[in-house]
Amino acid sequence: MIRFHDVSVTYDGATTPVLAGVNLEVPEGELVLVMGSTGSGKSTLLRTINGLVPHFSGGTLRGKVEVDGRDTRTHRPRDLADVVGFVGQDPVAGFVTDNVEDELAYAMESLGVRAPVMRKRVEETLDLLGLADLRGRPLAHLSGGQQQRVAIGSVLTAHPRILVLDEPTSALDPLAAEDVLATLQRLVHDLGLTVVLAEHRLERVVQHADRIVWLPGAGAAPVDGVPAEVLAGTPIAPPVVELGRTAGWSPLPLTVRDARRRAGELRDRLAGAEPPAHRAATVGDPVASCRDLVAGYARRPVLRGLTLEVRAGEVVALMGRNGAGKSTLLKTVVGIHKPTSGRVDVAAAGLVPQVPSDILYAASVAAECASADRDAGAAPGTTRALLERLAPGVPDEQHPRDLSEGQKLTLALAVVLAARPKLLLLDEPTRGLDYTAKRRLVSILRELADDGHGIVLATHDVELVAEVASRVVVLADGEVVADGSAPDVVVSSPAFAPQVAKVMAPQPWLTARDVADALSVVEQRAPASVVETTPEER
Amino acid sequence: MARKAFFAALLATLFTICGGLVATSPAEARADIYRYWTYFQVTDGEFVTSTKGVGATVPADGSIEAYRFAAPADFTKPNLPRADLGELTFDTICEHVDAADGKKRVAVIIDYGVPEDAEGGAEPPAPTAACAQADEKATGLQVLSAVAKTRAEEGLLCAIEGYPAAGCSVLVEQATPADPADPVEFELAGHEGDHHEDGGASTDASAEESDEGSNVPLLAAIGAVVLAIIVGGVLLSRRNKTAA
Amino acid sequence: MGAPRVKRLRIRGTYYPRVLHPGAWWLWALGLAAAATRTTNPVPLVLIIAVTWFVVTARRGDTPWASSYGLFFRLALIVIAIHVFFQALLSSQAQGLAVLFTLPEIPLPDSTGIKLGGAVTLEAVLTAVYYGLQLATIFCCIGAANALGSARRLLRYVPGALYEIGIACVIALTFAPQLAADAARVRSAGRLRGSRRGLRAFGRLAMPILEGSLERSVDLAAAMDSRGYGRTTGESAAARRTTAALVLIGAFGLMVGVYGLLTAHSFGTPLLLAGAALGVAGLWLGGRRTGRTRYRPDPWALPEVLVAGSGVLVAAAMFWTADHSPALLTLASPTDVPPVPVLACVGILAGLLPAVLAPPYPVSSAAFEVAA
Repeated sequence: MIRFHDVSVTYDGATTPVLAGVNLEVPEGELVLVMGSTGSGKSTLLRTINGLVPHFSGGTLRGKVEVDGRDTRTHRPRDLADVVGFVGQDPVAGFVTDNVEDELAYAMESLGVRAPVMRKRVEETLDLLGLADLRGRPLAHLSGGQQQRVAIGSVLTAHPRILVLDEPTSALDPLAAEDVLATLQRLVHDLGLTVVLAEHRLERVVQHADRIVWLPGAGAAPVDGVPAEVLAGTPIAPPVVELGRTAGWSPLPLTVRDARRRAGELRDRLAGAEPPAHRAATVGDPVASCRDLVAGYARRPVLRGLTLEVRAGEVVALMGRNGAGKSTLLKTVVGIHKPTSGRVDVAAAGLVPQVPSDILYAASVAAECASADRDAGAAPGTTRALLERLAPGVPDEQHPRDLSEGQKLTLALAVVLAARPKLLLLDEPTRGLDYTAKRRLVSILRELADDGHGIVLATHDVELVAEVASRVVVLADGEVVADGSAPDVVVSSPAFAPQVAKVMAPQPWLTARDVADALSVVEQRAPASVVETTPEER
Repeated sequence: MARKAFFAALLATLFTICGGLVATSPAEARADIYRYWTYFQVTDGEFVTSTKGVGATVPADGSIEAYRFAAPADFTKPNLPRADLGELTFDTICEHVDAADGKKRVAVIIDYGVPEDAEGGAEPPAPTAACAQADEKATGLQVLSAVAKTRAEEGLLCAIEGYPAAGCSVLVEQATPADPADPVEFELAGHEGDHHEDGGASTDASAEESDEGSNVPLLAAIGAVVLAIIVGGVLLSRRNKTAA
Repeated sequence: MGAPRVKRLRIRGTYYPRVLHPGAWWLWALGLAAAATRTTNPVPLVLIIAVTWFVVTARRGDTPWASSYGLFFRLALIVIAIHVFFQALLSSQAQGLAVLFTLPEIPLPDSTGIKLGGAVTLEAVLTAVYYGLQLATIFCCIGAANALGSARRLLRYVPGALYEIGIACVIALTFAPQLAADAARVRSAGRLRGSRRGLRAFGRLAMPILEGSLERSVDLAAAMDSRGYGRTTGESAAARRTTAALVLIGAFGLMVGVYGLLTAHSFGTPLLLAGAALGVAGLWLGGRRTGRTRYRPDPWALPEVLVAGSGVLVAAAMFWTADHSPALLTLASPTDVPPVPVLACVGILAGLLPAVLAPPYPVSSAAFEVAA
């Protein structure tokens, strides 16, 4: 279906190719997962499939990409529209019309499909993706998961034989992500569609993949194979695979179900061990307290009488589905959003917004740091020193826009920390972060908590919560529905339980590292397998 | 072949139109004629076109202001009010209005023009002259409105006493012919016997009121209709809200 | 007995709840707006506003743009307020003798012909209110058209040859609110950094906003290209050029015609007709060449004709009045009791008919479930 013949891509102005030596063949009906850290060329690889690279992006493509027998060098994306359906990272950015039905019909209109055929295909697609109830709905009124399904539907109506998706679940909460992935699974099984997708959150997709293409980055040739084989050798892996490595299972389990079937033995080995409590080492004075907080819109409060206290040294994870009030709570605490009623007492607070570049204005990292010093009234050099501590080696002269997602986040974090906040708030910090960047973030957050900062993060990322949170607060409909230590809240929840917890239940283990540490204590041996594959950050 | 022929025909039409446009436009452009109220001051017994707008002048006590409705072929040589300034002086116009403290008296001459300028060739109102008594700082427009109803748009005088009924300085085809040498008779307001404190305005106002007595029930009816629409709309939106 | 009786159901085919063709709503609203341009008499103007509001209340759906009438209505009030404010401030345009109050005067050089402050008269304020009201009425008409017939939906009906222009308009319509949302987000984020106020702060914030919108437009362009935008089925470069030429000629012809009409030259009407003919021919020929198809076009049936017709009726009644008794539509002096143009008012009331004649907006299934 798709053939890469020795493909390499070099963007204009770059000295090294983003992709090199790609020789791949994707047969019909496979679901292929493309993984790799940020900047390894995942998006580029996906975009070569429908010709966006090089026709749209510029740059030089060497070698040959053949899609259903068509050479992408001579076929523009629009000429491949009937073969390849491409769904970008942000579904909203790709919407051309304003309601579901028209959006589904748009591609067919462009291709000149006859009206009766269009009518029939739209109905079929509405049913296939479970969108029938939403047919006349404005796109802006849909939830993230629904929008993503419409985006998929809008390319499916052209009856492509290949579906290419760039991080389809990165903005979704766990349940919405499940929804989208189940849809994809169905397309592969029922329609024999070939699906190629890139995703950072491997834990969500690995179980659905028939094959993994791993891009090691830096222009190295991709590794391609069956998931269990590829994941054995990659530095990035979903938690369930890490657990498998820790326990020394072979072949590696890819799904919670696989792992669970073998976990009995592991649970026995750990019977005597005490899982770590995931509590803050030292808890200081309160840095923020909200009492009976009501906030949101005049007729539709988002927060309804919420009461919450955060103390220094705590890392509080705010969880809950999209629209549960997480962002509103953060904004209210930091003072951007005025509460309708209730009290907010807060020490100096700093918020890292969902899109870190929203608070980055300067043309270079150095200028950004200098202006942050001025804004915060800190001594010159403070921000730069912070940045050096959090992420060593970010070049001074680089434009913040050209930094990787992880570096942008760290820079924004440094900018916020320059004002010496007692309370640090982060809104969806792991959006678009790869595993390496995420691990670095975890260690930074732990350090900051040990320094006596109170930290609150609003997140969908259950694995991040398992790693770093000392307390988990679940919001639903603007109210706190659960509040407690991470193991207490997360282990029993079907939506928010991390993979390791699902595997090890009823024992409350949250991360592969906890298990590895406990094993090393119990069995009096060094946790060799973990050290090898997950290099320490500090 | 057929397409080419069609294309050629299309282009030919286009060129004809363009040609027509180029040929006609200079001639037509020179002939642009507007019909409007020209504003004059009287200096040394002559009508002089005012250099300022009617809202920007402050006429002096004892001066004469004049207005003429016409469509002059050349706007630099407008048709003058058809009045004999030897006969129509400040004293004759203002003889029945006494000077008052803090007020000024200004004679106002209004010439509604000739039937050629009226909508449908109707006879325009008879030319009048009146004595305006107004605040010392009053502008030309305010002086005029002391003796007549005025309609103005952004400082531009559009109508006097509702004449013309609509429009403001409109483009017309035909210019006003040159006026005959003989002046016409001007009706002197406030000279029928009654003595008016504030010029002729109050007679107009009282006449107007009797005219518009019949207007009030209609206005009330419209008001009732608007009210009914609003009430209906509110009821409807309530119903929709409870339904949805 | 005999054969079973066949039961005949009478179905009122055209009046089931459905979305009316947006073109019908726009024609109706344009009729009302055209009527408003002919008069500064507050009586018909207020009546037109009431009519637009009522029809919007009766026939709008639960779409996001349905609330745009309220927005336009508020804009209309602002327009009136601005008119009154400037009239009061610039007394060079003062007229009338009924002084309401006097503002302190700021003398400006004579040559400017402008005075700031001074006496504010009833006449001046009323004139401002009436002219403001006319503009406000037109705003309300546009608001009604927007609330009832989505501008985007209307853009689906631009001739095929002008498709590119149509899609550009659609994107602009999406972009403006997104840009506003972006700006609000960045500005609130900016406050987190002890953001400064004024021009410098704006300059600082403009960067991320522009960057965001640039990224968004690139994303959108990529998405459109990947979905076959601009893929004209089997067409050569020469054919494309011919299409472009035809469209250009058509547009030029129309432009010349409109120019002729607006300047009231005697050749205006024939030029407009010739230009329109050229335009239609160009667009038709150009439209035939694009390989696009249209999904579920709205029907143009009896309700559409009636709704558009009621708008035309409003305009016709007003134009007839303007021709035959213009004194009813323009006040001789702002302080006069406004006259009532009976025929024009009856005509405007005909504009209420769509509240009954137009099929009701279908309730979306989600709203229906809540109700049930």
